[in-house]
Amino acid sequence: MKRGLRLPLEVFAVGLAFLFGMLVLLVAGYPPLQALFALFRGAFGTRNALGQTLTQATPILFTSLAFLLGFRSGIFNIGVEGQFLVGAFVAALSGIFIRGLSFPVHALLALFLGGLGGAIYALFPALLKVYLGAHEVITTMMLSYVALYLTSYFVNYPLKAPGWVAQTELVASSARLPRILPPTQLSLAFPIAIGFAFLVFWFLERTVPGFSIKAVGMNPEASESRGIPVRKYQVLAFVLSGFIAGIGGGGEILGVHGRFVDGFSPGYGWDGIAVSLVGRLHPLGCIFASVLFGMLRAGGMVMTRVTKVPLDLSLIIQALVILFVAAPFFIRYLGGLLRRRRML
Amino acid sequence: MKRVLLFAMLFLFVLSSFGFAAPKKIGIILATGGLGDKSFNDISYAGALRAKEELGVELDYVEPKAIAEYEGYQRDFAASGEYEIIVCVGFDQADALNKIAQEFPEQKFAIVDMVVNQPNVASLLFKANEGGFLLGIAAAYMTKTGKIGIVGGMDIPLIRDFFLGFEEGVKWANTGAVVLPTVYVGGWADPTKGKELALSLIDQECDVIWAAAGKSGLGALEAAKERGVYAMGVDACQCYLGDHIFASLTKRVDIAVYETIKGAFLGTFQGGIFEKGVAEGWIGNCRFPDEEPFWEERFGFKHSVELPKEALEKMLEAREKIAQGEIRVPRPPEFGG
Repeated sequence: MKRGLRLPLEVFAVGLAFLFGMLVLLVAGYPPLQALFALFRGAFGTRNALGQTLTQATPILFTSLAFLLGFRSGIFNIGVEGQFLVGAFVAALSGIFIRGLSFPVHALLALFLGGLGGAIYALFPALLKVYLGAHEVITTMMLSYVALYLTSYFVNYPLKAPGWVAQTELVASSARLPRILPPTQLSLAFPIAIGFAFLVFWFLERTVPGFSIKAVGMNPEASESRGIPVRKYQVLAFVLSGFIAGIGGGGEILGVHGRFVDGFSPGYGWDGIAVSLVGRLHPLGCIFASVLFGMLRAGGMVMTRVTKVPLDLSLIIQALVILFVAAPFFIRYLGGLLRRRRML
Repeated sequence: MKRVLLFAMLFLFVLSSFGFAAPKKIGIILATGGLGDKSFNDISYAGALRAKEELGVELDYVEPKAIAEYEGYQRDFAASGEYEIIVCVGFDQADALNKIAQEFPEQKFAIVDMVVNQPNVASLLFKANEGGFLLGIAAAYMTKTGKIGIVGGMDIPLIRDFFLGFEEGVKWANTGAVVLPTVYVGGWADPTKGKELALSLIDQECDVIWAAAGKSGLGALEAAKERGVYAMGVDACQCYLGDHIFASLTKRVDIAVYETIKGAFLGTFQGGIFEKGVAEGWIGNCRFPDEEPFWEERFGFKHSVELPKEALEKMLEAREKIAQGEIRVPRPPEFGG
């Protein structure tokens, strides 16, 4: 089953989603064309807008890649949010408490440790799955909440910086990822995310473990009989998925906020699942899909300000995009999966 | 089809980048709770709305969902150059605003409830101790057991400011009532613990409970309802929450926001710290005759507990005396007390 990038169809679906979105605006009594201008101007019209769009796209590119990697091995890691938060938290701690390192070393180390945190956090559901048969949808989702409330506890109590906001101290400046489009919040995390997209692409298409992961995802029984250790590759995919999610969390902390702020993620991990599907579960597709979502988020902000269209309507457009692009494909994919299972 | 769409989008995009010189507007960035909180956001918005109607200018507002979004919104508002003044609601916007205010030194900003030390930012603060004083008088008249309990969110100067004034007000009323030592929840979002603490105060015979503890305070109000004792609200009129709540200290953020916006449009805006209280009408009580209709109309309810006439008279007298400077309400040392 070849999953090529069929760009025209996606573009068409996105256009259709926008058309329907404008219809919704019209019905709700807002000027649809004006709202659309505002959306585009807010997403790409100025340096600031472009920075906002790419800043918003960065974390969801990481989380979509994380979801994708798990999915390709047949694992439904919907707990990317949890691994993202743990990664963010570990990266923040590394940035605060590791001292005496200079810039590139400290930042990269903190980022790597964040990834490691996410990987270890993903190891639990991976082991629970392969050895105890606990379904990962349940375990990863529950563990997401554990991560959410645990990190929230730490920044509200033991690690809270003085002041009224629930947040940690700032990380050392040597651990910060530099901003690449000042004065916007866009940081080095964005090119790193792009790099990861190509890395994942290369890994899945050009390496033996990558191939094995895909084989396991497509048909575990056949892989087993061909001598591919299914459990090993599922654990590997899970851990790598957690690693990328953790890097994403770390990038958000070291690049954008400079500290762990309680509730900084409005659900980037969950968004990653949708973005991954819109990107047709292709690493390079995820780049376009995440930029599209970043555009809707950043443009949506300007749209609400200029035209008083509630932000929820921009979320409706997002939902429509997912619906038009992902749903038919997703249903087809699941159908294919079921058919293969039945044949066995 | 595809190509037509593409061209249409490009055309719209180019068209939209031409700006028009329009009269300046009011911008307001609400706190993460959003509209409908029946507190800071709703009241701030009411003030901006009043300014909009009186000045005949436009008002744009946004409701950020996370602290992380503040900076983006602030920069977007400021970079557009369309706003005479941008009002930021809530102390947690301070970090972002400190940065953005330096980036746009020509833009006027206001921030509610926090200090941002930039020449183009008006920081709007409230003398909560004076409001506490007035509420203390009401409490002193309502208690039958002579014991009043107070629950704080955290043991920080901001909250001690409320309580210092409150205790002084109870003493000033001279009805023989006493305030038990303050108990602190240790967090703003723990109604369960707030309730437990209030219950323990009621067990010590308190029959009037006051909480200044954010969401944790809602638990204290509930405890009072459960045990059938009186309670009081804070920040906005919270009396709509239950018949047992008879008065609330009100921070008139609406008035502060309204006056600041008006000043910006009339050219009298100045950066700096503006800390005002009872004298300027920034601090009050929802049972004052000049405020009661405002809250009842806004929240759609009627105060059901009768406040003793004497209590109201005493409160109005105290308001007059504080405004005249005859009564000096103590403050914590951090607030210059």
